[in-house]
Amino acid sequence: MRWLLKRGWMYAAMVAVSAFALFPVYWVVITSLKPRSEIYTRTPDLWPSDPQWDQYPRVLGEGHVGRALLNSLIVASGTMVICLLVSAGAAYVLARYRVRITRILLILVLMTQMFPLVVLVIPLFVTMRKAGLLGTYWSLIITYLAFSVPLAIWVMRGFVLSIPEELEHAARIDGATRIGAMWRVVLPLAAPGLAVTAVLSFLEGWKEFLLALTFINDEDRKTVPLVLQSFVGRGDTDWGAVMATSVLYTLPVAIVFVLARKHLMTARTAGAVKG
Amino acid sequence: MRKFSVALATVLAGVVAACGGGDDNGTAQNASSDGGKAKLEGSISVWIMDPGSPKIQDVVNQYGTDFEAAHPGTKVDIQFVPWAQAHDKFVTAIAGGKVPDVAEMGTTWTPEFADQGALLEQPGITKGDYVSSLVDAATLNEKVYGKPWYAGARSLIYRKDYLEKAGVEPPKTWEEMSAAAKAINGTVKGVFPVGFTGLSEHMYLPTIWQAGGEIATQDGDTWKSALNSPEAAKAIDWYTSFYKAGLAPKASIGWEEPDAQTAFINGDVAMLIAGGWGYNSIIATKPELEEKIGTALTPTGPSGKGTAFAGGSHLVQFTESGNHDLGAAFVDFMLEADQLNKFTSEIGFLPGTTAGIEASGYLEDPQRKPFAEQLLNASAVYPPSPKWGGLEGANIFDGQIQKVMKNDISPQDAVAELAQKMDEEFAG
Amino acid sequence: MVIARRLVSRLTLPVLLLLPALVIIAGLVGYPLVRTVYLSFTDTGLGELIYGGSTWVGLENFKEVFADEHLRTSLINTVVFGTACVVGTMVLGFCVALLLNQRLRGNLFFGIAVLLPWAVPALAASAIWKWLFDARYGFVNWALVNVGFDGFQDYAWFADRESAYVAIFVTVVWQSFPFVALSLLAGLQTIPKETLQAAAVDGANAFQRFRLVTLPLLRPIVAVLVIFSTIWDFKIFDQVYVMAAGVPDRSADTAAVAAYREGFALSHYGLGSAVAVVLFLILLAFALIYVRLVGREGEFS
Repeated sequence: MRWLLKRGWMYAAMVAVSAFALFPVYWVVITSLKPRSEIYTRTPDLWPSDPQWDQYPRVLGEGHVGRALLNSLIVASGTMVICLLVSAGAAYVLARYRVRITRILLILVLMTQMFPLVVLVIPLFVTMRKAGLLGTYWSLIITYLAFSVPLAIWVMRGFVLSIPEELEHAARIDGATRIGAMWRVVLPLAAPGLAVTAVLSFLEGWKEFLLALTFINDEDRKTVPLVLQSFVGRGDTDWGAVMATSVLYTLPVAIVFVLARKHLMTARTAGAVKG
Repeated sequence: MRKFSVALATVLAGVVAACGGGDDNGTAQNASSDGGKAKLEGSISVWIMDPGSPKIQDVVNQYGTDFEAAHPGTKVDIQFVPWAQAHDKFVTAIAGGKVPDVAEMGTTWTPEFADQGALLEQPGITKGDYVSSLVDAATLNEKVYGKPWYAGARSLIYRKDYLEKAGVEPPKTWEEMSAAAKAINGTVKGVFPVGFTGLSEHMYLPTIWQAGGEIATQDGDTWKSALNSPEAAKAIDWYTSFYKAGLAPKASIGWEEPDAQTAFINGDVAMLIAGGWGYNSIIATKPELEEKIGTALTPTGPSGKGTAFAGGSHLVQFTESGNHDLGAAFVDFMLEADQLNKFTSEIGFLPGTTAGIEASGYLEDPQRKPFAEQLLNASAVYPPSPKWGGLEGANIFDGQIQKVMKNDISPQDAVAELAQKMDEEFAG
Repeated sequence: MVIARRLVSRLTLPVLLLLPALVIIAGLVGYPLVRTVYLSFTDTGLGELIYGGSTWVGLENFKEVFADEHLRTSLINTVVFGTACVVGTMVLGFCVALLLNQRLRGNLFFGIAVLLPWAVPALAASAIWKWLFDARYGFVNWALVNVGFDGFQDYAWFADRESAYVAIFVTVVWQSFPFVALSLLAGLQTIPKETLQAAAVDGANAFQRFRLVTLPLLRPIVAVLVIFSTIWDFKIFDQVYVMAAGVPDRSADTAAVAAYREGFALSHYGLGSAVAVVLFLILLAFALIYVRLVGREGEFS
């Protein structure tokens, strides 16, 4: 009884939040299994009477979703890797060198994020045209970096700040260089922050639509959001294809979440701080 | 050498266009198979709007493959652009200095981009060869900037069983439609008589024509709104009367056309204003509906006319394109009657050429005949002003119609306010 | 001389570490930002965009932004609705992070479940939620009617501004709470257990430990999350563009949507840029206030 009072409500909250988070995703899954005529019904079917799996081979085959998944993977992982490399160092500097100019830099970096993307599209297109990068993976990776690095810097800086500087001093007294101390002491302790940043920058590249639409024309280079939009026609929308593609699109991320759960959600650092 | 061949091709194209006339298909075919063969070379990129289905994409891709096969040494790169974002993608491409060679363009956008000098004039267009209203839509200052590819006009689609149950005939006039709606409301439970929505200008703007009014009038090269008229007010009054009387679903104030179509498919709405593409989509979604639905011309208004909006797509070429000849040849190839019908039969629009329509068989199919007749005999286009695309893109009309639906303002005030907004845009 | 050399060698490392990030950001976003600010003082339309030759109009566009009822409303909408979204996201994100940190049974499943919405692109999420909130075929109305709220039979969520905002709020929070929750969880886990245990030994109860130990240690991360959530939610585009299109007279538009409509649709690029610049100034003001507040606690000094 006490257990129920103490923990029960937590479980209730957990179930409620999970339902809120998962229901729309579940809705997409079941819709992808419904025949076209049953997609809209007044009384929602929570499980299709006769699940149809044929949308999946269809979108992977004629819909070229396989190719698009690969493109998205390339762009998103490229963005993630470079973002981590570039912003980890910058975040470290901005956290540890507390002089006036770092403060100004932080604000400046933030300011670049304050314009709505729609007004930046045309000049970004011109920049990419002049650089001769239109239509390439790089055009997307570089632009996504410009929008994920600032956030990554701020987030990682927050994590670096929470790591006591004394630990680094201790390592340096033991003879480590500044870089060595950063690599061996700060980086492992900032692991949860790094993991968050990694997911964040990966998803920036994985989900982005407007810039991909603007830069990419080639069918072979289209990312999944573009292919998803291509099922919405002028007079007719291929809902089955939209839903099946959405499922295929979310699946790899779900798998990554499962694989990365240790880094994302376990307290590997707690206790280590003292050591 | 290259310069010479370009010059020669231009002259040839002029000659071909000059003797085009009634036999447009034949000459186009000749130009591409005989005269053009030696000279066509290089590559072009072609933007086509996403038809929403991989299967129809393949039909378009086949055009590229077949054309390349017929003209060795050419390369046609077909790229699909989603409809919802196509206008902005054109703007970015034009302003950013990198355009495709050939593109499909929504008919209401053609004057806008032609006005900026982005589009190439299409010589030798004879109105009789094409759906004439779509030639009007591509015309700016008496020059034509796009060739009609496909076209469609909205007609009436209704549930035969519901109308029978209510004891009414398919309405031919506004009065009959109002009466039919009331009859259905009384007799068929759980069904809304009409699917008139707040966010579909192609449903409500044509009622202004049906009432005997105009949307805008041209004076030289400036346009002036004609909405501030008793006819327009009457039209909006009639259109919104269904919603106000509860004869359309409450949510339909925020519906777009596909929402109304969904409701119709589910049997929640008895009468719908929709085009042949909508009809195709309805049957594809629920094949068993084919027997239950009927089609008829749009009901006529007080003017005696049942004019609908003729929409569709043009094929255009860009001035900045580096290969005008190849572009022109590919456009003509796509417009050959049998090629054209491969595509239009899939999407439920009508071909943009008269030869194409004859070859389509639409006029012999009783269910689809009204769509063809509507387009050929009772359709018109919105003012081909360079500003129209913007008015449409910003949805300036919807807000006022919604206000009337909600009874916030009178139809008279709504059209007066709209006229003022239109004139501001026409002027600026 | 020696001092100068020492200074150079001391500065080499930080400059080298900072440079790549700054080059990417400035190289890409610098020109578009300057250009947007410049355009906001001109009468640029599509023609001027292609061929140049726009006229300097001074503050005309900005006067128009505040004179035009629709644009003014869109800015107010942005601030009010954006703030609501930030608060909603932060509150739910915090609760979820604290729950996850309890390591209950089923924690793993819970963790993955709450992360999933993050993986869904904004356009797709908007379409799905619009459907769930559909008047006739939506799950939300069906569920509400079944638990006894008969008023929701065919209830049209998108037929006026307030109810449309409820639906959009749910969509925005659904999409953005996972990131906040995950970041806060990562922050919670860098707090040494010993510190909390020490506080417990000193007789602090759970709430006091949270307020006196956990919260201050999380402050830098919370600050970052609030600042970025504000930036994102004030710039919100996709969700409003998809879900608020049917709200009568577009009275639910936010600044980013208004800037888009003025620019891309109506070809008033000068005016559209001016809307963006005003939004920028609002965000800058918010950011400086946050930084001030956090800075007072010593984080920035």
